Amino acid sequence: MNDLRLGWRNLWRNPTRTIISATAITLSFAALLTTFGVSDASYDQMLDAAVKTAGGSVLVHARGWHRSRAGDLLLEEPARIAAIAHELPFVRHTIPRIIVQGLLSSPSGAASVRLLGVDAKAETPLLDLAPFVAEGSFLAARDADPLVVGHKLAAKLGLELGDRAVITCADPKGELARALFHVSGILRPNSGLDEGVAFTSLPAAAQVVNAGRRRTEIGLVLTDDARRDEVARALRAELQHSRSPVEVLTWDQALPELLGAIRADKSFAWLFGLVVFVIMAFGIANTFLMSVLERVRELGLLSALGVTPARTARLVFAETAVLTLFSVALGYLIALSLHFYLSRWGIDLAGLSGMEVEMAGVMVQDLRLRSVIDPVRWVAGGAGVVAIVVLSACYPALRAARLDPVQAMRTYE
Amino acid sequence: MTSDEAIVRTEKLSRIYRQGTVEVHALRAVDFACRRGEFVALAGPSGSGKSTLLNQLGTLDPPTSGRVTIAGREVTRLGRAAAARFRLAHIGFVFQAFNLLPVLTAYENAEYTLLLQGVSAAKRRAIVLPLLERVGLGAMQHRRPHELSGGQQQRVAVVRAIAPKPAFVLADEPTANLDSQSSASLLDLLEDLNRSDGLTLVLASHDAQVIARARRVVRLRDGSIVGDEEQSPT
Ligand SMILES: Nc1ncnc2c1ncn2[C@@H]1O[C@H](COP(=O)(O)OP(=O)(O)OP(=O)(O)O)[C@@H](O)[C@H]1O
Ligand SMILES: [Mg+2]
Repeated sequence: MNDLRLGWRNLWRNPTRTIISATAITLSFAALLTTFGVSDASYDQMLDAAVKTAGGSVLVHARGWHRSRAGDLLLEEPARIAAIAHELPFVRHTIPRIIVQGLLSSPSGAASVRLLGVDAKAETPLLDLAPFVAEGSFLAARDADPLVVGHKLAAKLGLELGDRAVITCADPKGELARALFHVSGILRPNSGLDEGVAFTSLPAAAQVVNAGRRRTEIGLVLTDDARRDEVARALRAELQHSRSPVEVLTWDQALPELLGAIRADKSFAWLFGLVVFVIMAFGIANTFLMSVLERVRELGLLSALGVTPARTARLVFAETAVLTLFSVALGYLIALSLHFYLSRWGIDLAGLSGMEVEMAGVMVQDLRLRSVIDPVRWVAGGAGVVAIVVLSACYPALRAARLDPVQAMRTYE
Repeated sequence: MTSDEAIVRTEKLSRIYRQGTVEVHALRAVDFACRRGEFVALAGPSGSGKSTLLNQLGTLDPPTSGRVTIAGREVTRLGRAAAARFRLAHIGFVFQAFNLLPVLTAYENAEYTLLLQGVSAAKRRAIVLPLLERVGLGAMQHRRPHELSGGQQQRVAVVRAIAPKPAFVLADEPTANLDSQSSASLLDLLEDLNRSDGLTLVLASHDAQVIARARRVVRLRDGSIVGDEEQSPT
């Protein structure tokens, strides 16, 4: 206890240096924790966006569709599959879709698109695009041939509300089919909509490929996305003996590159942490080495009076301990305040950049920087700082312990 | 232990400093003994080996050859930690300058050796306060070293040295940085401690005023003892 008090007083012999060191530790530690918080939050946001991009946590198609994307590979009994899925735990909603890969053309150009035939109401639990409509509506009117496009696609093809557009695709017999649509909705830039995607109603899309009651895909919305593997497994088992074979994929199986990118983004926060730690370590080692070297004479006096080398080292450690505990506590305080601010209000990135934001290849709709606390990371971060500081104090402490009292007291004589 | 038995003794003590190929014989086979209650001055010109001998008596520096015995125990081959513990338990030190820790008050500096020994706060207070009063610093116990004169700082160092009741006190030129008046009053204090309290004292100096106060003068030259006489203090 007395060592700590002595350490405290020694720290205040050079207040400027102590304040600079404490500030450096405090700020880098707070920055580290905030990075953790923000990266964990954006991880959750990206997972959420990934599920939306994929069309659900779990996806059911006719077998082989995922590889071939063939328009004629359709689920024969979509209603039965949806009913079975609804019986499984964690399944909240099922969303039927017809997906047509084709060429969308207008008088001023053509673009390859994935036309999604959807039921707007059924999509809402996963992704409600209605708030992102700039003009028209999102399949709300009972048009016979509606078409909703993003602003980029609209700009590319010179499409305006009410304009006609033609989709050309291969029909189930392999022949070219054409269908006429009228633009009924244009989405805002921040909708997160991919340029190569357009929407129409389920019946209209069904007509293009003569699907009748058949569907391309059933997307499952779960109460908890983390359960996707077990839900997929259960559904696979249930559908094993269907008349027509099906494939059941989780979103990360359907879009494997997405998960890798999101994970890489998460590891980046650790890398940042490592860099912070290394800088901190050198800063602290340097500070305390300096403070030991300018007190050689005094440490020699302590040794002469009967302070053992181990206790001399302990005195140096006590100084670092006081400095670190203070800085870490303050760092936690600052990071917590930032966290509460971010989790309550967030920072609107879309507003800041005025642009669409893509994270790890996923279009993110919720463009607010947020924060969540992962207690493990926050505790590990604090422990890491303490460990780093103790490690960096080792060399200065060793130098102090090794001082020869006679030599040390001759210094500056 | 009888009073004429040596509290500290050296036998054929040599200390050679090597600097590259040059060897400096700071001490050459010195036989020295100091009995309990003595007040010994080590005298001699600069470089004669006074400080080197004091450091040897204080277990601050290992000898090149020979032995040092303190209170019947050979200390020549103690490790650094053991030597530090031994010093704390048995030897008091007063150095020429920079004796005090600048971050501690006069009182805290004075009680520091007791604190290191693990003496309780109440006991430390009971021992240190009267001593500070005795050296005339009772009113200045809360001052930091930079708020004390050189002579006052040396008095605090003396209190710190004697507070744990060491076997003997070593002082290397304790008055060298003081004016003659402060110097005289510090010597008065040391003399008084020796006479009234039986403090064993070995100090090194080349100042005639200091040497005159001692009851025994040991003269060194080129690392050897060239004179050893009792004197009646003036
Ligand atoms: N660490 C050292 N390295 C090399 N030589 C040393 C060292 N310490 C002392 N010496 C040498 O040993 C000899 C004795 O030195 P010492 O300090 O004991 O003399 P001193 O009598 O105390 O002198 P002064 O009155 O100047 O304090 C001197 O020649 C000195 O140069
Ligand atoms: Mg000397």
